[in-house]
This record gives sequence, structure tokens and C-alpha cells, in this order.
Amino acid sequence: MQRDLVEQAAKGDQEAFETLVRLSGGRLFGIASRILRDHHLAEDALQQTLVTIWDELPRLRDPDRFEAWSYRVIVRASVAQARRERRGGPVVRLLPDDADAEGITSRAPDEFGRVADRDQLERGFKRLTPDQRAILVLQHYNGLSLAEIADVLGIPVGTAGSRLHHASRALRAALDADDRTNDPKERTA
Amino acid sequence: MNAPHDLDRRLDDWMQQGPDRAPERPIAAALDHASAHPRRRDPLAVVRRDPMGSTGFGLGSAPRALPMVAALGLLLVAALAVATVGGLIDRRPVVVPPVSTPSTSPSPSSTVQPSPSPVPSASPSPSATPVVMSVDLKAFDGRTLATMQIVDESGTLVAARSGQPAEGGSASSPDKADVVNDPDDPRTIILTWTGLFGDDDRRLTIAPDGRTMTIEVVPGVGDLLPVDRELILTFAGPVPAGEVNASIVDVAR
Repeated sequence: MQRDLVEQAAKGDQEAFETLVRLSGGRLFGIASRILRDHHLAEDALQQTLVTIWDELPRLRDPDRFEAWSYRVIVRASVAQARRERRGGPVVRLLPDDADAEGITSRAPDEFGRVADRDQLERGFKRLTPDQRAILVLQHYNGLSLAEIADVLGIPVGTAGSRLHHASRALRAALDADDRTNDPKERTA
Repeated sequence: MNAPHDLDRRLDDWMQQGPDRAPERPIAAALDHASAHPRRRDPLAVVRRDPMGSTGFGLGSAPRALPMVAALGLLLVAALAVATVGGLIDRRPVVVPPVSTPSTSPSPSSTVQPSPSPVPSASPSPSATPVVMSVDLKAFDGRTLATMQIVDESGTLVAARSGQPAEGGSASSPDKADVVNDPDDPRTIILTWTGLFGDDDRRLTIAPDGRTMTIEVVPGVGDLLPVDRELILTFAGPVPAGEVNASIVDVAR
């Protein structure tokens, strides 16, 4: 069905394009918001991506490659968006509202641990480069294999593996640093 | 605590939280764009590059593409012939090719003479006519990333050429190029910045003060491999790298 929609949209059918956009928009927005960690930036990246899809769709020779191509476009737009933002700029947290201090202290220990864990991941993830975030999102959010990630990013499989390894290592280092920062023994040592 | 599999599991769980529904605003904007830009027949579609990698000149599309390529070639030859016969070829003297090797000699390069005065000073001369050059920026593997136009409004630039950057991305900021002096020549600075393979580094403008530079980049839709660019600029006189501010701005396609 998606193949038909892609073919029709490529020919200029705007209804097919709208259906296609509504089918794939959620997934694309999910990718952008997880890379950028900012709702408004992700909206901008999605809009730019959908416009690019309309403009460039006729060039896509194989309609079955639409999904991988759309992932490539949203990742590219998100990384470009992140690069435009100055380092250390304001970032809207995606944590739910109940993660405020009052909410946390009133929760059971398990839930407190989960919130703290998410918070730590959020801090560590933000310390990664946009490229590193992108490759981790493709693996852990989209569940893509290494070959599929390489295809989306347009790089060799070996390069994708290397970059995934470095991204994981960078995140682990960021989390370890966060652990040390929050460890009272380390701070007093 | 942070064993690899544990981290993978934590990331899997964490990534599943967060928005999965697209907001209406970008969708509406894209649909408006589609309405305002209805599809038109593109006679060159068959030779345009496939965004997922295969080009219009690939084996599968060659039979379809060849007649169009041949027609384009004929058109190009015809246009060149008309331009040559009619004496219409632009002979602007200020557009010069970049010098291929750096010069440690204090005399200005013989191929680029942006200023009528050969005085070896980098003092800006605001009245000078802007000099335009073009440089093929090379990647670490020698391939050309982009053809960059260099507009020198200071009248002090003597030569420009691409360097041979190292593999990967090394620039300290996404908004600025790193600037260092050539250790052998205080008149020469080396600009290094990081972009992606698909980016089009379109233009470098050197302001009349000879110290403020702007690199205009058109973000491309390509792969995400970060690669360094290196541009070597030689001026008429010494240019301390610390005085140079080379900012990077994204511009629309």
C-alpha cells in the first residue's frame, strides 16, 4: 500500500502525499524529537523533512526505499538543526511534568529510581554529538540493524559499526562521569 | 552498572518513551507547500541523482539516460560554439584560479594579483575591487567536496588553495573555523572546519578589515559522515591567526 502511495505522491497526487505524511509523520517526529531533545526544534525538522520529501520524491527511483530515505532525510534535518543551535542553548526537557522534585520525593523507591535513571540518561545523551545521538536513535528507537543503519546514513556497514561503538562508548563515559559527579564520596575526595 | 547489555536495555526502554505522534503544524505546512508547488514535468528527472545513492548513470538506468545525456552534450557544444564565435565568453580579469602550491617568497603570487600595489602588507585597502577566486575543497581522501568561491573585499589576499585535512571531524566548534598560522609563513593562515559530506561550502567572504571571514554553507542531504575542510589563505603581509574570526553560516539551498 505504501508503495502505491509513494508512486502516486511522486506523480503529484496531493491526497496520496497527505496519507503518506500522516502514516509516516509520527515515526519521523519520534526520530527528530529523540535526536534533538526539543519539541519545537523537532517540529521544525519534521516540517523541513516533509517539504524535502515532496520536492525530492520524484527522484527516488525505488518506491520500496521510501522508508529508509525518509529516515535519512529526517536524521539529516535533525543533525543540521542541532548544529545550528549554539552549544549550551536552551533545551526543553522531554521528561513528563511529574518529574519535578516534589513529585519525585513523593514516589515509591522503584519509581524514584526509574525517574532518576531517565534523568541521568537524558543528561548523558545531551552530551553526545548530534551524529552520535542519531545513530543510537536509529538502533534503539527504530530498532534498525547495523546494515539498515548504514543504508539510512549512506555509509559502509563497517563505518556504521565503528560509529555505533564510539557513540555507545561516549554515552557510557558520560554516564560514568555523571555517576562520579553525583557520588558524595567522589565530591568530598 | 554500565555493562554494555545493561546500557542497551536502558536505552531501549528510555527510547520508547516520548512522543510518537506528529504535531499538526508541520504536516499542515508541508501540505500547504505541496499545494503551492504542484508537481511539474521534469525533463531532466531521468538524469538526476537518486537520493538513495544510485545515480542516473547507473547500469539500470543507462538505456533511459543516454539519449538525454547525448542531447544535453549536443546542446552544450552548440552553446559553446555560439559563445566562441560571437566573442561572448566572459573575460573578466579578476576571476583567477587558485595557486596550486603555497609560496614562502615575500613576493605576491604571479597568478593572483588582487591589488595593484605589491607592498607586502596585509593592511586592508577598502577601495580595492573585490577579488573572486574559486577553490576545490578536498576531503581527506582527495575527493572534491565542493567548489568554494572566495570573495576578498580587503584586497590583501594573494593566494588560496585547499589543504589536505585529516580524516574525520576535528573542528572545535560547529559555528567557527579553527584558524592557525602556517609555521613557516606568517602571511599564511589555515582554516579548518567540519561539515558533512553532503554539505556545499559555497562561499568564503573576507571582509574589508581582512580579519572577519564568513563561510556560507548550504546543508546537503547526504550521509552523515563528518569531514574536515581545510583552506589555506596567503595574504600580502602577516596575518596573526588570533585576529581572524571565521564564522560559519548555513544558507538556504
